Amino acid sequence: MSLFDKFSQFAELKQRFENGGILPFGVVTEKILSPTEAIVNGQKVILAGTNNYLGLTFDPEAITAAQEAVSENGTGTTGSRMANGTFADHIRLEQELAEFFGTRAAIIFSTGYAATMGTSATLAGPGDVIMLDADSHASIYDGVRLSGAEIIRFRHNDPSDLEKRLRRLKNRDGDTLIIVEGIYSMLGDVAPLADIAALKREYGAYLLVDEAHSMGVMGDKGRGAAEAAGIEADADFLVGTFSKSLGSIGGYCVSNHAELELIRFATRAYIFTASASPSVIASTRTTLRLLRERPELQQKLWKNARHLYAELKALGFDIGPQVSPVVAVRSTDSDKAIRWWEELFALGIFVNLVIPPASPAGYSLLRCSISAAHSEAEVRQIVAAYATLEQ
Amino acid sequence: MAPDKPAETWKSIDLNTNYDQVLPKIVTIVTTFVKDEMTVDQDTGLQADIRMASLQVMELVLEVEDEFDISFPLNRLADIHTVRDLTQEVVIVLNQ
Repeated sequence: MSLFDKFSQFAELKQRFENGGILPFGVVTEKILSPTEAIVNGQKVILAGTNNYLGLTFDPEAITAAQEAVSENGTGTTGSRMANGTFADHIRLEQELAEFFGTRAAIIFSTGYAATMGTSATLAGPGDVIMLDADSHASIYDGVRLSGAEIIRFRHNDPSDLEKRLRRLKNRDGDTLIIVEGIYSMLGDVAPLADIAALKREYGAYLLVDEAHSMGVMGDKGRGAAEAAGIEADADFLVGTFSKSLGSIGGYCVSNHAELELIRFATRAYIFTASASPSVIASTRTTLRLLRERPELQQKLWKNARHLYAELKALGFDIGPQVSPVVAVRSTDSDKAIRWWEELFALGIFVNLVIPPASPAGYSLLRCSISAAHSEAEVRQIVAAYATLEQ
Repeated sequence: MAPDKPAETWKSIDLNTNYDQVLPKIVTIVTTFVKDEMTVDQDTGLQADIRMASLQVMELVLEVEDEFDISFPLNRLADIHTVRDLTQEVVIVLNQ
């Protein structure tokens, strides 16, 4: 018995990919050419799984802002927000986020993972109950385990299943926090937020919505799925990331509860890590402004999403249940999914491969996340590559 | 799947009798997660014998909650390794 025995499963996994010549997990991008193209493994590929929804990673204004920030404020803060790591621009970004979402308070985190994990771990505690959607992101699962609250799952995107579980709590003491996502990262399906918000009101629960894949993607103002569903007033906490639509790295939690300022002092994922570097904050502030100024990016994103979804569906693939910028092809045969991923890569299309247990319901997934920056020709190239796959 | 009796009936049964009555239900549910031909009994290990991944164990919990109309927090899973462990935990929840 060795300390390392439990990792042997990963050695077996790596072995499965050796014949393909490239490991899909941790692929090295040798040179990034644009938001949609890169050199990977010596080959030019279309990036079709980057979550770069608005394609802002190479925006000239954001790059200039980052360059100026690094010149003026240095490469890093070298400290936590609670110590020496709160610069004036961290506060400005928090104020801009609160203003964007129309909330009383905002907290930023160094990563999206820290934002969801930290809030999930901190908001509810011993004596409380957390009800989370079964397909919640790993950061939420990691957080709730640390919370000390009782954790109850409900079936994915199923308000009746949630209600059944809320009803079983009866009149127990303690609060209940419901955690859902706006758009789910694996299949791209959208949470039925209007129904969930109604249950939240009926049962007197709190509601946290993770908008990681929906901020910048949904809502007239780009605020996310809660805005699109008209339930922002019911969402006690909105959590999200800067590493998708905003093209940088970091995360946020916004809320109309003034107590969010106090939660800052209790969230270990906020307290015990270095704050985001000045260049990251500067580019994020810029892309947040661009998101507001350029609604056409969201329109182009959805045009590309509808195009890709319709074409892959017409090819006969088993894809996610609704149109969204996440377009996932499902297979119950993981070997076939791996083969498909290798064939797509050979054709210059780089998508995400997800196999159990990381994927829901035992499926393997070839997951595309389309971008506003993809040209129509690139979308057609992605579709053409999928058309060559033997189903 | 619907329980044979209304959930309220379970709570009126004493602890020892309850285990014997809960066990067959748990075995039936666990069996639906077994891919190969395998006889499930109270000594069957969820991970050791059936090789259930953590996600499958959480799916099992959903089924158990619905069968007995109970809340079964995931926090209780840490000490559950066998069908017996799971059955005992369900009995405790039913009698709370």
